[in-house]
Amino acid sequence: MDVHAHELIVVGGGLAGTRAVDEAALRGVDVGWISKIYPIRSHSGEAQGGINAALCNHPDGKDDSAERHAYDTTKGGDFLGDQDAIQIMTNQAPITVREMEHWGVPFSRFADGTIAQRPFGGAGFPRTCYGADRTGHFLLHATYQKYLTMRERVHLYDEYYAIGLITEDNTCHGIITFNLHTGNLEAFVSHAVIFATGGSGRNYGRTTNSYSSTGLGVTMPYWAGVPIKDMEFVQFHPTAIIGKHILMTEGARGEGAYLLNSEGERFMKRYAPNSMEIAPRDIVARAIETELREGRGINGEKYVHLDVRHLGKKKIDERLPGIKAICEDFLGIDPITKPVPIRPAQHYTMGGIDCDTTCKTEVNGFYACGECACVSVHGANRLGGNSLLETLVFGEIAGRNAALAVKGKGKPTDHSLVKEALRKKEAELDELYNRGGTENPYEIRDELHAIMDNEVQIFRNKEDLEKALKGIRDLEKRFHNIRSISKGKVYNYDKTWTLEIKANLDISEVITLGALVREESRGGHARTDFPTRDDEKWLKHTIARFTEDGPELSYKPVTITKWQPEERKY
Amino acid sequence: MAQIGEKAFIEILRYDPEVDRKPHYETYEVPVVKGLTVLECLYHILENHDGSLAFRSSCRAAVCGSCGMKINGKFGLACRTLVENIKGVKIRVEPLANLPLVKDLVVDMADFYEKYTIVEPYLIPKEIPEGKEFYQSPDDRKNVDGLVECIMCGACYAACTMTAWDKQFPGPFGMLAADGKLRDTRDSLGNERIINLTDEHGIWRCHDEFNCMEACPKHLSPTGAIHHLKRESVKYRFTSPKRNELVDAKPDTLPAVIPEALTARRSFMKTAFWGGTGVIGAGFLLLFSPLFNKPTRGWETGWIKVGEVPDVQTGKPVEITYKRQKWERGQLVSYPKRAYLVKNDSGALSAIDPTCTHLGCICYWDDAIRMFLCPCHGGAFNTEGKVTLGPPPTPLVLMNVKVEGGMLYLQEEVA
Repeated sequence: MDVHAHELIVVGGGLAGTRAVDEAALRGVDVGWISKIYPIRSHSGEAQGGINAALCNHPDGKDDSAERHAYDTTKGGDFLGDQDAIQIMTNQAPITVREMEHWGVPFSRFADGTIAQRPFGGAGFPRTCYGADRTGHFLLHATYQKYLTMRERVHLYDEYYAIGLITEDNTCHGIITFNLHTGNLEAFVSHAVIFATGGSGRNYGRTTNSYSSTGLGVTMPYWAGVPIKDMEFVQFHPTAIIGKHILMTEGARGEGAYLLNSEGERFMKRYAPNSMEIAPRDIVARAIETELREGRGINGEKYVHLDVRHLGKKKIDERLPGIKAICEDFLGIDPITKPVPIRPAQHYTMGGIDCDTTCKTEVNGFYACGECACVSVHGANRLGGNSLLETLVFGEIAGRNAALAVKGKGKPTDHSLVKEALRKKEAELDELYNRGGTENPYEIRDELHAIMDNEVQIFRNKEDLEKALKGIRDLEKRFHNIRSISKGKVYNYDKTWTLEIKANLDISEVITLGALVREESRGGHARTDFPTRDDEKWLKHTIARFTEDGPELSYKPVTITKWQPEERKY
Repeated sequence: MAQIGEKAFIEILRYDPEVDRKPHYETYEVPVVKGLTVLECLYHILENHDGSLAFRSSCRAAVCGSCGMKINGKFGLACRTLVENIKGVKIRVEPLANLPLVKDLVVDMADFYEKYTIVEPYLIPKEIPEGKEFYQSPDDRKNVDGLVECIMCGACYAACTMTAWDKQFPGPFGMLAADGKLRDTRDSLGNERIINLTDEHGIWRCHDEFNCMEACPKHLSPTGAIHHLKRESVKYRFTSPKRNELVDAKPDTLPAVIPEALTARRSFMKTAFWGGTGVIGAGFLLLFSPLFNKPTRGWETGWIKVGEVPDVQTGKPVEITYKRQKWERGQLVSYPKRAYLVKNDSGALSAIDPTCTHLGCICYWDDAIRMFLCPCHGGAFNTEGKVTLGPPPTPLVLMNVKVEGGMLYLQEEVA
């Protein structure tokens, strides 16, 4: 039996996890770092457009401030975000961005040598700092490189899947992992565990998320009794290329790109006359979807055009080289000469593991940060450029708080809980992998994708959601009858995917149920049968708890410090 | 080209360490749809034909670098390779080369990641500006364009013949990262980064085969980066007033942020500096000799005492090292050299200078195939020094050998 002991365990190799590891290691803590893929492969690296901070470098942004950033974030999130958390994030933003610059991020520059900024959706000033359209890649590599300087304090276990928490008396004592290299289960014991496992976009078929963003990291604590919050708020990014659903950065519109329908009309003027293409994502996504529903898709098909041609070759080569490469690789078109066919696709999970502004959860010693967590800073709709910011700010906070809690305690020596937890997990997986039924789990996943894409999408209504909920529960039943999984031990991805599909089903159920019950429209959650926001009834967070009979919903108030809800106009 | 609606035949190298004694190929049929990628073919096979198929993937958008593999003989990303762009309906998929095979298309990347750390890919600034960012002009930022976009997919590493031959060569991607930091105006390490890369496993190993450039899915040029490093290295060799100090620098004078594991290597690199750049510099010394006050007198000839005679078995060359001296600026400088002692069937000893007669790389003895191999362009020689493979025009040079009083003496051929 393999048991590893560390003062602190961090799960997740994306930006939030890497930043948390860096912070804990800088503070001299012994860290065990677990990631199901090698850290630099994480989905954070796909982020393109930039990271928000009121640096006031842009000539039009001299009057910008952390407070203005907080207001934009609150309004962008349709007033569901907790304003104390938002202010912590926006106050920290300039410090965080400069720190990343000091760590080596090759940000693009203004002529005066300062970090370049561009306009982004829902922001009052141009405050999105960028490194061409590869900001996420640069940030992820810089934080990873920081870790390389502290390897004596951090032990990286890559290609280990975290699959369960070890908890007792409402305290987290470690995790159980599936070692992909050997196929064995291995336990990790620690004084604290940080989860930074990313979003759950792969519940949808049409998603910009990577194959890895399955939401298993949200289900694990959910199954162990940690509540999850606001899962019905799913962001659809307006501009994903058709077919592969790969992201075309909001930075393109920030730089001045147009959205055009079949009549060649810049239709955003009818939806957000002031902000036009750079209205918040929920508004632009709904606008595009409305155009498609009303038959103004290009050639009668389900897409519109993102047009960057008028920006010129020089600007595109300099500021948007990544999306140019994506168009060439996957569509075979050059955006300098041809408009790009796009349609909205699932992009971000606003909800996640319920935690407070210190990243602590209901379970002692269990922290969460990044997209898998819901602090909540994004409320009902995240602004572009705020997700990279959240991962770094709260990654640091989680790393700091956990480090302070565990420092000097040494590696835990009490392994008494491990044996029982391992035995239980082994039996559970043994059952899961040997059901000997007839269903192909991947077909179940494909059917789930169809349900989520069609019924739990940008526009929702009672009928669709009820149908979806029934469909998901049917799939869960069918999942009990899946075929036996291949037996090999070394690098058996069949086993990990099966586990991920199980997680997909449970998370989808929480999303759908939350959406069905919430009878209002707010941010990313748009009900055609309840088209307006209802602050009296619904200005509250949805909390879901796991029970054997499905999720149990309750509600929690929103923290309002400065800004009372107002009408959202752009 | 596989048409939409038809089938593509994906031939995959399969190897399961728990079952197979050696790898074999298996072919699977995948229905072609518009925009189908090789990665999607692999998922189709995993989900519908064989759940045991192992391959890495994540972003499917050519930015995470997980799915580097060999597709119809070319290294690249499976997610970025469209079936409709491939000639013929048969597609052969194999794992990355130059890394140990673990299972199917999964290779052990540990060495690869380890080599990245060797080049110290992180920024080491002198002083951090308080409360503000470093100022860097747009032109200075442009300097690192093409060097910071690497996604570490391993395609260049697998395509590089130098990586294949020299297990300590950091690989094209490592050199690219090193040049990225060297050219970053915020970094303070400067020429120290070059010293780090000029030993016999460093930049001079690269012989401009451009395989890395051809393989790179991000259209980057590691060869160009290595060229820049080479130019800077030669410039530094002749211009730095502190070069002698740096050669003797002790690890404790280095910045504190460098991890311990690397400082050991660094100090080794420093002493090896003369061996690497120095050898190249030797050629330049002849060219520039009028610049120096005292004329050089070249290599010392005569017999060199190597030491006690080692135990040599017939047909199994033994590597020996010795120091050969050379006059440089009026002083004798010692250069470490290598030779191989060979015992022939009649029991007579001979010595072979392993300097390849093609372009001067140092060959090594490979016991498995019983030949001297050149790490640079695939030249090979037998125990007599005769050419058996590759481009070398003439045999390896034999040295004079004598044994006196139990001690071994060598003499290099005098031209």
